[in-house]
Amino acid sequence: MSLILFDGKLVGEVDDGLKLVQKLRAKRRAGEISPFINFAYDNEEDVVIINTTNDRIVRPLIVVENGKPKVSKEDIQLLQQNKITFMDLVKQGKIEFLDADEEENAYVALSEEELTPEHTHLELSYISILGIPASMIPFLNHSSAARSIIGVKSVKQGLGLYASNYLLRVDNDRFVAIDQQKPIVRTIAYDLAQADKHPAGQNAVVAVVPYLGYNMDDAIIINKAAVQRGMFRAFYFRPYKAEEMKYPGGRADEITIPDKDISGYRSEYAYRHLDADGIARPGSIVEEGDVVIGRVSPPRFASSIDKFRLGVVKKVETSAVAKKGEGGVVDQCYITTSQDGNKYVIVKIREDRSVDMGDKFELREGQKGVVGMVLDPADMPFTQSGIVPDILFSPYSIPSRLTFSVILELLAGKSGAINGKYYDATPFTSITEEEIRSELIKAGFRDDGLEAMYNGITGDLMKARIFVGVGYYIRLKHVTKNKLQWRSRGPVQILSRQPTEGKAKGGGLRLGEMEKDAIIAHGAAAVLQDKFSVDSIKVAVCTKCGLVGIYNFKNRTGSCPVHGDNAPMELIEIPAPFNILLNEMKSMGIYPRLILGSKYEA
Amino acid sequence: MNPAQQYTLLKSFYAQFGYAPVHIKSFERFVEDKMPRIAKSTEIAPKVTIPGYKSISIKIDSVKLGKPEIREKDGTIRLLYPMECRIRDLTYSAPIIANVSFIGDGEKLKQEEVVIGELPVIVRSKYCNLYGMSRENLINKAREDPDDPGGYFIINGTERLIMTTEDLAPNKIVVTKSTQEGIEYSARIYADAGSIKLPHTIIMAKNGQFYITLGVFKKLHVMALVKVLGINNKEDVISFTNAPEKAKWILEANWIEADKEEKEILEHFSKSSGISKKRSIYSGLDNFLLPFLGQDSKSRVSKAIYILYAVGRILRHWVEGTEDDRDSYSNKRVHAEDYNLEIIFSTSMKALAKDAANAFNDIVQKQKKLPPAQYIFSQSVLVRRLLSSISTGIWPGSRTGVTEQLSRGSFYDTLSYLRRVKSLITSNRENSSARVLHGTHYGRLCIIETPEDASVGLVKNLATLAYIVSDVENKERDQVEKLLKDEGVKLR
Repeated sequence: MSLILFDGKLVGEVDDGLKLVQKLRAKRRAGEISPFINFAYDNEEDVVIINTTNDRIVRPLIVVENGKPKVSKEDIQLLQQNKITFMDLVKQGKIEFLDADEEENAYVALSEEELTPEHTHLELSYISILGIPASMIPFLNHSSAARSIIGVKSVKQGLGLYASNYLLRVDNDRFVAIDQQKPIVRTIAYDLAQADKHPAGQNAVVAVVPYLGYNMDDAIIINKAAVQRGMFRAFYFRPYKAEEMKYPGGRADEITIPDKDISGYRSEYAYRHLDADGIARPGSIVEEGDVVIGRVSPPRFASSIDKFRLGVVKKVETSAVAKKGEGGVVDQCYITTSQDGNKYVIVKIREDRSVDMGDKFELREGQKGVVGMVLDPADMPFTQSGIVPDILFSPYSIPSRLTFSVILELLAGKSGAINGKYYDATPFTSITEEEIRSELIKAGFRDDGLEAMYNGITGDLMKARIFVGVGYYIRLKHVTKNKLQWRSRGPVQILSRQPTEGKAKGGGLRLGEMEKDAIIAHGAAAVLQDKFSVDSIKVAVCTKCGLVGIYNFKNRTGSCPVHGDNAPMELIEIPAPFNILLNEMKSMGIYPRLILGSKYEA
Repeated sequence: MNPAQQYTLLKSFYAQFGYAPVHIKSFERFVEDKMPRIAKSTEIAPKVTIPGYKSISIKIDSVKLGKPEIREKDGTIRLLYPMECRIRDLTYSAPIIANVSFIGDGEKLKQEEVVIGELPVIVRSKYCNLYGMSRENLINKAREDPDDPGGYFIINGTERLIMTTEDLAPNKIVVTKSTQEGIEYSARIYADAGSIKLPHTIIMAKNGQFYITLGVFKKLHVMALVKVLGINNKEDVISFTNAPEKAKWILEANWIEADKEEKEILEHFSKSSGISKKRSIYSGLDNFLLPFLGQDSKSRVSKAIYILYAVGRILRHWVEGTEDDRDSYSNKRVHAEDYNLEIIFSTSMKALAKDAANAFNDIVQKQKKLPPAQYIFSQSVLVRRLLSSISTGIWPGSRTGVTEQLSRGSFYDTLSYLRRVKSLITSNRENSSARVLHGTHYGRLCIIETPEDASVGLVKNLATLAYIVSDVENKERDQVEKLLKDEGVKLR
């Protein structure tokens, strides 16, 4: 007797479990049972498994009977003409959804050619093992899987049109790249994802040649003329928001141009963009530190202190200010009301992010690189027909990564650009290398993609022929202008008196232990001394007990915690974190006695 | 299938289901199935009563979701669209309209329609105002990107998404070899009966004795438990386990150990669990032992049979030296909106019930007559809890990271987020077997797309033709049960 498990519950038993399962499947294919209920027979346990829960991942497969798939050529034609839908085929029992349990009973063929009478199902497509972003990688089956994992990230990070209503949206910290293109070398996944309405890259003419050393180690050289004509140009949007909050006691914020007597008033220059309503004029160009939305607020810590305050209560400046290192054009202003009914102003600043040195680019196959040089077009190599490439890509990036799909993409892209057509590079069903080569020859180009090129600087014909193709380059969101950070002196942390951390806090870069070792190796003692004395403090130490005491620098008097006011104190200079260490030791009950000696004695 | 045919099939699949159907369908299933069920089973039991009646109770008869609308500070009400929420930092939510009846001593006194709270609505679902809009209207009237896939909430202006999570399948017996001292084999069952979720472990100790642990009941002797649940006959026990010949002596040994009187067995149980009264032990077992098989005394025998079946499975594996594959996708399930919203909605409804009962007590104490329903249902109770959970991602039970802000870095990133499957296993452990690609991932999860950081292999993405089932309705389950009867299945 076979037991029956219905969603995990033992509901009964039946004589022949396998026959029952076959009957139930037949009823499902006839449309009498929901297509998303699965039946499996575990012959080791002699158990019938029925799964109906709404939490399983199922996949569609074509039903095969007697070695023949039930979906015919005519069915596919009807699908293409939109005369029937996918679910129609499911209801007819020609396609069914299997979960992991039922698939244990199935024998799935990958293609019609390998069908035998024992097979039960046929795959719908070879790319069923991939997800949508991975299916966008052209010729993926010719590339190393490890590189494709990296490449998939680039497909997702590309700058482009993240939403077609980006002008209306007020998302924080957004890039929009204009004039993006559909890839010439594409896959079916682009159609499935409606990706063409949101393109995120450009087809660039790529010459695979090391040039002047600027494209070493995965860097790329980009043609200055291309950049100046707006190739890969992007904008960076940042909204600034201010709300007129209301406080108890009838006081409220006010969005307006602050008066000169307001506490925290910046300068007349800072407010120069504001209209009478306190909001920056659309179209004005703001720099870091400029006020974008002027606002004054009643001072905090009011109520109880108010009673004792005589005279006019001073308001505080709480404007929205352009952040350090950012600026741009005032693109859009919204004046609306918030949930609480307060006036809510949003000002969107747009800043140019044209291609600069250090900006990151990637091909879809996982070939990342940073712009090493924006090269003058006169210095770029050119082909005999006068084509000057947009990007110079170093060939050394290819062999160790095993990304042969890059070469195929560049070749196919070239053929596509010349012949004016798109190429299908869907993994496993792509156009073949022979087809690409023959189309190139028909157009009058070499079938191996090589071109004779001239050195742009000297004018000489290069001895070796260079591989030139068209590749779909994606610009990534790692952009130099957003990461640039500088500091000579600036804010310090309260506790350790060392420079703060992080760009947003105006921080410094850490001089770590290995960097210290490098400076020692140079023998640059004074540099070390300077770097490590940034957090110095002068403290007075009692020579009797060796503990740190209090010192009044104005009156030059000191007092020891143990020995009182007239204790013999000496001044020493120590790093502030060292004092913190002494305090931590004291808090553990350890007595850190400092034994001092004159720095001039032997 | 040649390439062109493959492409036609792929395109028609996407034309049929769309890009991320799970978020929308799962949410719709929650609103149609689980939300009414939870609301209707909420008990509101005030202490104070009105003259003439011994006790008053309040019942929710039905709930439905209204349309997302906004009530301005000046009182005007109009339809709300997602774009407005994004700009003004509003929440895209719709009122939950309930039919509430006041019952005194079993007699229905009055029924009223009242708004009991607000539920955030998923963009592009049936309940969204954008549903069914033409492309022109989407662009010109609603100012939306017509190709935006939807599937997310908008909470205080930010788009938040309930991440699809992968977890071990509930109510399934998974047998593994044990690495612990003194234990040969163990079987885990994650019992899930909707409101109660409790892991059960059945272990086979090195001496061949079987013990079961669930919640407070620690290391109950399985054979003794089976006796107490109602199976007293040794032959029945052996036949229910369906154990292989080689292992029958183990069952004999267990039976000898369990050869005690009911009183003595219950004393053992109460020592290990800390529950003293015999009645409480029984009611504890009824409520918490394998709750998906029933929570009353009538289910005791079927629970015993199930436990014996689990013992049999352990023995069959033990004899062969094999174990179940914990990483097979047949032992995994994927949870979407309806699972997570159910949890937060039931906790919130319980809080609402308490709050309503208290409000009723306060009003009736003074006024001595039934108040209008809207005075006792304070909308903010439901709203606050739902919003706070969805916007922070913190769920009851200290589960974090349930929701994430929808990434809008690029269109493809957004699409990828909507098709992401996160495993609940923490990423700071090695867990190599859980991260590795498994045969059952074929066609379900992308073999390439996974992050390169500590969560490699734990965060996965759906394959192109993968579909998360969210469509099965209760009536379809009943239909299968009926068919089983027709086919001669001996149902219990």
